[in-house]
Amino acid sequence: MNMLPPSFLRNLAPFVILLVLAVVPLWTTDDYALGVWTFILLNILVVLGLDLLLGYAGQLSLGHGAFVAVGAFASALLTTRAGWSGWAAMPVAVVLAALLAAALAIPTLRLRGYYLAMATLGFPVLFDAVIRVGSMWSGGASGVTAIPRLSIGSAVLRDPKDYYWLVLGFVAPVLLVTWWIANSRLGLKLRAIHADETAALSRGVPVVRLKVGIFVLSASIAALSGCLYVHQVQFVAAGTFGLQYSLMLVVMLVAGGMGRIWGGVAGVVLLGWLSELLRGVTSWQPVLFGALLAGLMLVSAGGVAGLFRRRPIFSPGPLAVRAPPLLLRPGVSGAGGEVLRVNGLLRRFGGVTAVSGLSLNLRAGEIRAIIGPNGAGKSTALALISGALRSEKGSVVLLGRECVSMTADRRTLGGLSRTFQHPRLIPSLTVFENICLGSSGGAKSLRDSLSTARDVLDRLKLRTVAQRFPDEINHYQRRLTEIGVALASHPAVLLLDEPAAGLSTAEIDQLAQLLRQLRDNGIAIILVDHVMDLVIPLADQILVLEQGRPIASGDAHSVVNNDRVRSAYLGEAATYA
Amino acid sequence: MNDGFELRRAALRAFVGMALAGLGTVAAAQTPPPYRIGALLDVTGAASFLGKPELNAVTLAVEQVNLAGGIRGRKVELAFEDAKSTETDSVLGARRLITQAGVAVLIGTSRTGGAMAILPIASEAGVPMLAPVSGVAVVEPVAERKWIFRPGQGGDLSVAKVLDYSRRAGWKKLGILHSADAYGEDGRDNMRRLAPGAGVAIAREESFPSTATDLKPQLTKLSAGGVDAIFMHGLGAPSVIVYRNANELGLKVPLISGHGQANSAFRNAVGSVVVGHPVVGAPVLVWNELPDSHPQKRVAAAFVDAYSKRFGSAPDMFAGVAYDSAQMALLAIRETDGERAQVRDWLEGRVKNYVGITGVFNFSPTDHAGLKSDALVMMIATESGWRLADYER
Amino acid sequence: MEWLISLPQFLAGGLAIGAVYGLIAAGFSLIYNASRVINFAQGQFVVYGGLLAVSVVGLGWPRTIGLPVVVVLCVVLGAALQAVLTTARKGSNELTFVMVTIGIGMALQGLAHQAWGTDYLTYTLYPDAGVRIGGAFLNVATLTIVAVTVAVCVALWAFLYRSIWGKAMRACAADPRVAQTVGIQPRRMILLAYIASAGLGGLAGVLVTPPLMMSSEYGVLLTIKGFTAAIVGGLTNPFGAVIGGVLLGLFEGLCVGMVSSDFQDAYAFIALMIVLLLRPQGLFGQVQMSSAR
Repeated sequence: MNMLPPSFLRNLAPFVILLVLAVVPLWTTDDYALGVWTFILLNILVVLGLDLLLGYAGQLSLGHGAFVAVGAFASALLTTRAGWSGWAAMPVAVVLAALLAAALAIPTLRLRGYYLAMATLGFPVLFDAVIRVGSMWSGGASGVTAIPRLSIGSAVLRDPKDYYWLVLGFVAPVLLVTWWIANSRLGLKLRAIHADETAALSRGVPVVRLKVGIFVLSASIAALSGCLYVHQVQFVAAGTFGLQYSLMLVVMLVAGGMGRIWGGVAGVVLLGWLSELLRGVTSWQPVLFGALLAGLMLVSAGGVAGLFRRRPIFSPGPLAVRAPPLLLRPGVSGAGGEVLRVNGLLRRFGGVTAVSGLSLNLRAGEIRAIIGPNGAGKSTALALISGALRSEKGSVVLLGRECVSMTADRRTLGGLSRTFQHPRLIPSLTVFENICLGSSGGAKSLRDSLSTARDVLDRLKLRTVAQRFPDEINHYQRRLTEIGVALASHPAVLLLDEPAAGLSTAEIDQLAQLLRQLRDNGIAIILVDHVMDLVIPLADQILVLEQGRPIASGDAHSVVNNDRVRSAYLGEAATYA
Repeated sequence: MNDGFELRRAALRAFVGMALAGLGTVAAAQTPPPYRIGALLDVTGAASFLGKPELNAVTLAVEQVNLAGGIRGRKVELAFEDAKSTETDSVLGARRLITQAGVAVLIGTSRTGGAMAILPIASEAGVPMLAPVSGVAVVEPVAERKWIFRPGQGGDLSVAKVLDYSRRAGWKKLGILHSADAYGEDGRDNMRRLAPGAGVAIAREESFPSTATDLKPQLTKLSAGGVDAIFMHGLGAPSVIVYRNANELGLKVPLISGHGQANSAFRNAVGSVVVGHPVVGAPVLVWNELPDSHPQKRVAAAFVDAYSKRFGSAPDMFAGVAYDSAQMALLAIRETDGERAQVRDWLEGRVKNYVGITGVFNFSPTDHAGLKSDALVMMIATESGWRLADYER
Repeated sequence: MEWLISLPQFLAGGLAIGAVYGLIAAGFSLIYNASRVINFAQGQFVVYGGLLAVSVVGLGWPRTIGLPVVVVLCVVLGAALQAVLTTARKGSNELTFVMVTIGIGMALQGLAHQAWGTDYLTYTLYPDAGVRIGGAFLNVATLTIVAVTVAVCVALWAFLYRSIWGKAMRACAADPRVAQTVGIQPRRMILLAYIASAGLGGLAGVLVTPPLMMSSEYGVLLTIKGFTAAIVGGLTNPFGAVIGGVLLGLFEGLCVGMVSSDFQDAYAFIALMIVLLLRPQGLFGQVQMSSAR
């Protein structure tokens, strides 16, 4: 099956950018303008990393200048105080920045919110203080002077043209790497983190690890830029890469367009020259650029790149001729062995017990329904089983492995997927890309991920809307897509949270048919719903919850006729075929 | 016939026109280009209180020269860049002035940090530089500072003045309170270096960042160290707060400040708590109290007069330093052909007993600072401003 | 250990600025509760309060009229900020709003720079007097600021727990959609939150500028420290935030005195990281959703 990239032009784009940048020195009129272009290249380096962090993963860093400074100081001090060569100092400086970034990121990124942003505002303050206090070795407030230029062999790089191309030599691989990341499955995961961390977790995306990893990567690239800076300017002091600089990076990125890689490049070039042209009114620059940032974010956040529609990263390719294969998880037999054992889960919120004593055993190919009145704890129960909430005690054994202390993403990779009451699709990804997100967990190859996603797409007959975005399709299609995303990770157990909500009778019938097919293929399903016409015919066993506690369990007939269940939920006069 | 006559008249007109055009071009080419001086000063940012009066002073000097007919019939042009109180902008501005504007000599920056940042550029490009700052490292080691001159009162001179006062007051142990920037560290380093030679011991050191809002901890720790006096060398709001805090604490130990406090911004902000305290200052601030024999009195008076008329307020001491820098640069251009290397050589070799506002300058191959401690005076704060310390009269 | 004697003095040094942090932090908390947005322009209200007060007094206005006018101007500024935020395109998420506040904070700082320069400015408000309590000297400025902060807390409590508007705000913070069903308009509550925060910030600026001076450059640092204080006390609890501010101020004063004055501003950052590591919800806040779950 042919998986051509959607457009070979897209893959050429980074090379085009590099070519344009490479010929700049040939037509600039003087060394001063070339110096400005060199600063632009150095800023492009930093902004590329920042775009991955902010544009793709949606994590805000307001102090990236500090990492540039770390790289700059490390390289400056190693070359002036310890006599190292600039080339040897570079990897050390980058590793140092990476370690500091990790130290900053780990406590802050495991929380949701703007803690990273504030921490990155505060870190430069600490860094400045360390530099000032350690003035014996750091040069203190006076800075480090007479930093030697880089040399290749015995040739010192003095000519501004040579230096420009040297920096470009670093920009090229960084641009290609960031481009590749952005257009790979990793790019899908980053976008998922940006849009909806809960959903990303349930799709198997290791959210915290990726956030930290991307932050460390972007900080390392920034440090690299700092190293190159000092060997050109031959001076660095504590205030060189201050808050103003860090904020300008963000403004440049936003103006050019976040989440588009080439947008960052455009933003740096545009604002770099704009800043240069406006140097007569420099004291107005913070007002202008601050207003620009605010205005752009209010209006579009797409910047210059936003004028062009984003092409989807992945497309399904031609229609499959043969029927898609079975969706069963490799290594699990559909023959009816136990796939899930839940025992004694408990969760309280403040003084309220949401769920207590939740236990069930599930075999392959079995459909278990959980029903009960509103507030009975059904969604909480699903969240506890899937790992979105942590249970205070008890155990969850999935395919023989205890995973009660595992996070949701690890359980998804282990074979347990879920859907949500309101479909949580990633709005910036197409239907097919959402499904690819589901199939991208673990260490599968790209070919396998795409082929699984295509199979799911065709199995659920979503081919016609594959390239549309979630806000362009109807509710039933969204529901199906979400089930598709969950199926794409080859679950042994599938948790469905009120899948019938908002569906018409005909759609409910189609859904029931789909669930039967899945069951026949050996997937175990836990189904929470209020629509008894769906639940009763499908469920092999029903568990009834009231106020967080199980009050009845058994086959449909016995549960329906259970007095307690009738008085709590179904109603005395209810009858079901 | 008429045609022939018309043709000859047309040809004559054309010829005259072309001749005139040709002459005009030649004439334009003959008008000599102006001399260019570069000013790289911090008129925005944290050091704007230094840069703005400095720019005024340099502008005044250039205007005066041009009003008097320029130098050898050529005008003098002032190319200005804002160093914006950051090293990065100092570097960018220096590059612009040197490569784009092609200045013959560079005056700047207002901050020690900025001057340190650009001196490699000036040195590499072979452009003489006059830095109106006080940092000692700007002109030392002299062998590596061939192109750099520093007409500002050095931090070492300021410290020498303080040590002289300490000797007269009988102080044996000093505490140092300095701001955490290049200026403050320079004062601390100079004091560490010069105190032993004057028989004074440094008992304790404390510092403060420019955003400090409460200096009572530092003052408490310093006075607990058994010091006879506290030497303050710093810039910014905390230097004002120090005097208030000392007052509130009922500090018994006297405070003495370096020349960072000898300006109107500080004097206006600190109010009456500073009255009676000694502060190192420049002759230009108390010029009317100087004896007539004092070398600076006449030039200071003339400068204060011209500056006040032009800008409507009395000049600070940094304006004086910048004026001296500009005057020396203009003099160097006048005495040479205005080539960069010639200007440098002239500054180094021919500035002898030059009476500036700041002091009497003597540059030499081993001394690019050129001043002795008589360039500074000890002042005492009064209700309305400053007065000369008694022993200086 | 001569410093032990100075311990009360070190603590007292941090009291006034701690109260200011507390007022900023309360503002963060109110806005966060109402709209889940972290207002990165928060520190600017303090700066404008202080600098406008300097100008107003410099124009010759009597303080009893001028200072309240300044606070009202800050309130208007807060309302304007919120108005700008409402123009955001549909589908904007929190990150959008946060970045708008960053941009506006930058622009406000730039405007302040244009209007007042970067110099440190002050005006006189308090008499040069104070009391000695237990080895520490507390000047009138500190006493006034602390007294006003206490009064603000009492007023805030009365507002949030005893008045109908305050209860509406709390309802909205708990669940905006349910609040709407009983007729509360979330937009109005958000506007109220911004107005209150701006007023608190402006008041803080007015009170703290006489002793400690104000510069257009202080805005970002105040924002960072106010946010740290809010984290220490608990972002979801305005009173906790005020207490967090005071604690942060005391912590700073203590560290400056006992450890070193060189790291003055870095102590707040260290405090932030410690709290995030050990107890992210702060002393009085509720447990927040974490990324790991």
